[in-house]
Amino acid sequence: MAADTDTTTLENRSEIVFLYDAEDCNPNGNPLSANDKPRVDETTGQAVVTDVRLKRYVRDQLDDDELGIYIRNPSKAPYEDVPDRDGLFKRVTELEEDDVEDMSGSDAAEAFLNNAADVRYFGATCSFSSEFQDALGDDFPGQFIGPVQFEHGRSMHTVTTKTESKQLSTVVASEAGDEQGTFATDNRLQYALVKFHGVVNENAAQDTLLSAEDVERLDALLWRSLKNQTLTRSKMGHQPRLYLRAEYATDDYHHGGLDDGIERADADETDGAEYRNITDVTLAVDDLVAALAGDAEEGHLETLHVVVDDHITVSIDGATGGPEFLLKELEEAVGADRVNRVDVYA
Amino acid sequence: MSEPPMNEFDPSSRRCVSLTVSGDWAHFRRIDTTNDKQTYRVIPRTTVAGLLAAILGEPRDSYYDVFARDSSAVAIVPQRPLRTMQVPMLTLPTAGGDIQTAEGVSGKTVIPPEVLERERKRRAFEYLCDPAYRLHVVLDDDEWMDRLVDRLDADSETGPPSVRSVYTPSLGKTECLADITESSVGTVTGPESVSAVDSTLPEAKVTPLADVSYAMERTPAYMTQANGGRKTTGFVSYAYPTDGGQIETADVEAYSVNGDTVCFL
Repeated sequence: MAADTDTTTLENRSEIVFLYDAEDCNPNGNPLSANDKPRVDETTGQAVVTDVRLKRYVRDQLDDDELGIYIRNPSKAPYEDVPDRDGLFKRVTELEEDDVEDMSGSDAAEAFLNNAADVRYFGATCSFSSEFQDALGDDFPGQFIGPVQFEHGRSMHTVTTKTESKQLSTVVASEAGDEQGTFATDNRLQYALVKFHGVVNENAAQDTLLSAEDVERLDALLWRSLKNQTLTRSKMGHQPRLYLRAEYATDDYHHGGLDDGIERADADETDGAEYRNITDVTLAVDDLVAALAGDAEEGHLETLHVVVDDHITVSIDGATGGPEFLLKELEEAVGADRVNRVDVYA
Repeated sequence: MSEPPMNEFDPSSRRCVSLTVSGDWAHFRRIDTTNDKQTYRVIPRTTVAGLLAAILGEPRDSYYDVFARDSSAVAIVPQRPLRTMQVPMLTLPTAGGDIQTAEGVSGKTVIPPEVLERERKRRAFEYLCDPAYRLHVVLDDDEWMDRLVDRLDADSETGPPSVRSVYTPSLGKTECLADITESSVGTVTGPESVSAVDSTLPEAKVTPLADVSYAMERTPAYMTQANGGRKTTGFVSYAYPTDGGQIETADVEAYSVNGDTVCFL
């Protein structure tokens, strides 16, 4: 039978800013380009990473953490173990068709959501065979809209493609069973510091049963997923650098554009194409700190959940410092009791 | 094809709520393309209706009458040059020719799992980069107007408005998060004859001038509930500036509201 997850209802909205970098790797390949070239905005020279890429890291981490996911990674699942759509439901819930027939559609949906963590976060479209659909009942929703939404991420600077791209020495077969393969070129960026922005909506959370516990899990999940799910050839070289989740007290409120408050301190002098690692970048966070201070003063901010990497440098009001400097400034801006320094490995 | 009368609602002297919506990305899918997911450049009027309904937390398919031809007026002012980028993604085919009909299977997505891997298509999604629009909205429904003013904090006299939105506002696709700023309330004055407008300019009102360039687009404007879903009941063709500036034309009837000279749709 389906496991009942002990969940608490989500009451507060959150806004997330997440920075990670990619050194000497391909943060997100463009599937329409030859050899999966990194996605780059040709007008601005910025690298682009889709929300789908970020959510894949999170889904794979949820899978590794044995939380149960619906949309599994084809490259991680054995090819012969691809269930049909009904089977996907049965595998996630551990329910059989007979069990489902005895349940109402809403109970079946609850069992599904309790066992598919990724659907609680990001939603899913479900369609089944007509027999299975009949068993589920009319009140099983065909579509779950994700309460957690991330925008496509962008690098904070112009990126440089590695000039020493090489021909892969392995031979990649284009289809299973092919004896002859094709060569592939290895495309990488020298460096990209990518900024993501997201919102967790407490009202939409009711439809996917996303709990306060699930949202709390995000604080460590995003960080760990970037560390653990980037160990393949093209992704090796990723590092999470800064995570902020502003949890709001005011109903239906979020600041919006919180990510716009983080800029490069030297943006007026350089496009950043020469950046090669995190020590080359100083983040100007004045606008972010001011926005959070304003929200705290207005009573909108409940808690600021923060994870800061050891190697980042920030500037505030002309002064420059490391992680401890940033945390102290944030505590001063919103009140120390409102800042939660998250231990991602607790 | 002749367009139906564009608007049958007189916004003169009415209360108008104005807001700026912007985002890092937007995608307003053109309904006349399939494999290439191209976007309209200007947020369609129907998307504006959906955005405002999301702010108020109105359920899907419940709000079309409020934004009908005879009960609402919307003006859209592009604030920046409209630039696009291709963001190709892997998707499952659901377009007409791709759907495989199998016996005993319901719904749209009926691709057998064993061909799912093979059939996953690379599709070119076109996204707008850093779009921003100023929206001016007049509704006959006073209760909706009151709630919009309240939610947008549009009559705030103390500092920047604190917008509260039930669902997360987005520009087309859900991952295109929208920021809402600079909301305000004003009264519509006019119409009067002008030679340039800030908003999109309905095709019927365009008089081509020498050395004046603009782009044209045709998007869904009105919709109704039908068969458990929705149906577009009217499109509108309009000119829009490619540089985020004004459109010059000859003697056009336009309104003034909250600092902009606009044509309502």
